[in-house]
Amino acid sequence: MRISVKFSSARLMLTLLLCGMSVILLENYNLAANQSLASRMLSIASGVGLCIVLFLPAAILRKNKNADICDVLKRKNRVSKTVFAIIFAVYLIFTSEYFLLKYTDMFTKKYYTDAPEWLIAVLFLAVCAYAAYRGANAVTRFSIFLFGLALIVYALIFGGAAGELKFSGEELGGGCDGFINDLLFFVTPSFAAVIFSLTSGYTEKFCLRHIFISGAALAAFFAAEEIFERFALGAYANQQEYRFFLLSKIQRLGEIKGMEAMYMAVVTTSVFCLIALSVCAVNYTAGGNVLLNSLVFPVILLVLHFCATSFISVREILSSVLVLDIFSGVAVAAILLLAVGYPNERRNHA
Amino acid sequence: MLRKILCFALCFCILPLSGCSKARHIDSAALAETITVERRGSAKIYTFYLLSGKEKPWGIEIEADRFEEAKRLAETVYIPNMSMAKLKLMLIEQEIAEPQLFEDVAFAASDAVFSPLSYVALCDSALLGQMKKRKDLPELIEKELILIKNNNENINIDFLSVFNEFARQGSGGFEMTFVNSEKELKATRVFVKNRGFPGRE
Repeated sequence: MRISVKFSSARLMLTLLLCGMSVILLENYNLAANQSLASRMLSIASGVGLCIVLFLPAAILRKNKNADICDVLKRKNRVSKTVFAIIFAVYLIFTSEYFLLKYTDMFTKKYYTDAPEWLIAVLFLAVCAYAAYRGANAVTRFSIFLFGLALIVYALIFGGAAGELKFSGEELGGGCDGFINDLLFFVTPSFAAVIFSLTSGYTEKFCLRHIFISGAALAAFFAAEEIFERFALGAYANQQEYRFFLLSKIQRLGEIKGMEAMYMAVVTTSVFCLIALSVCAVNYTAGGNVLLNSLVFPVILLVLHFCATSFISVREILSSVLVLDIFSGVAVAAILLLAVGYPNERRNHA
Repeated sequence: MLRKILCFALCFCILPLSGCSKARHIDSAALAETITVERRGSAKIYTFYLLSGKEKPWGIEIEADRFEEAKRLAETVYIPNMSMAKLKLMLIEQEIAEPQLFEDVAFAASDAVFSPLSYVALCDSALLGQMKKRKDLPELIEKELILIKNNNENINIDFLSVFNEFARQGSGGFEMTFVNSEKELKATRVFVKNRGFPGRE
């Protein structure tokens, strides 16, 4: 039984911050090689800054009109409602599939090479479906503990790898293409803006500074990860996929070496929150039977997963950062269109 | 009630589907802790020393040109249940250090199963002979490596630092450890030329 209860907006932002961290945890040769540290930091700042800008339409709608996209859609005619619901549903399914593919790929390559990817996807989506059925309130309540766990794990990984840091002379390198490539990668957390715009109607005590604090925290996390990979892992980082996994392996605390298991835990929790919240958002947009939506959309994700593992061309499209960013742009444009139109409609009703 | 039934059913389905049929039981698993590389005649021999409860070291010798080939043969032919996740030490005979050291470290860097913090050192052939008789030797060697690292910050003793030294352009070479066993077990510094990456002189 789902209970629609208002929960704190800060909790939602905390969950979205946890989801945003999965971007760098599952980074796999997405960043340009041979970019200088300054260029990489600039791309992190620009990318996260752009994410914050993309957040603003939903934030202003929430702050000034005390509404989210679902409230706006209720006032639209049936055709508009269907079109916009499809745009958001397709976008959220694409985003969920992007991260699900990366997660199952990482799982089978780094931990259990004998396990079939489809089985990992089935089990994972089953849990996400149940969480989505319970609603965003339950997911965000759970994520407080997951965020606490994530903080402890990151402290251990970074603290344990600090002994391997070797600061050498920085080589200036890289070009415009590399900067743009990195910028596009660091814009991928903008999915949080779309999820926020669809779920914020269930939140209260929203404050604009939550978005800036979350953005700053995410940028700091990306920057810390970049510094540790560059100066602790060095050239070793480019020898394998999923560099953060390697970073967790060089952690050393006394006799304990390597925290790959904890890395797996934080990745699992981040991707779980992301997919569960995405399916929640699709539920809210689509309306209708919540149980049916919570089953149908994970099944769609599973089918897409099968297609991606069977056909390389499908996998390339579903794993493309550029396609994801384009979709994000379209979704945010839709949010802006709806947010701008909202006040006018209210005046008409009056 | 329905939720409980669904949960039990899901848990019941997970166990057989999750690959438990291919699980490696701990009592039949073979954990490789140390690897040595030496030349015998014209052949290269990789010896995998496995964790065991016996008094003498348990080593399996495999003839192979490269570490990658030796690992593949070990896993598929010679030691079916072998796991290399607990590898702590790799010893390479100094005579074949070039280019063996780079090739083996580069392979270890590309395989997720190896820890970047596993120790790697050069040694003499006498030590490799002693490895077959003394079970306590790997632990003593590790202590020597840690001791020499504490006294010399620039010395490289693990896969991570050795690989990064090979990757550093413009450097003529770097220091790593040579484990000597002529009179007593001792780790000393040795200079290794950096001709690691292809095309570099």
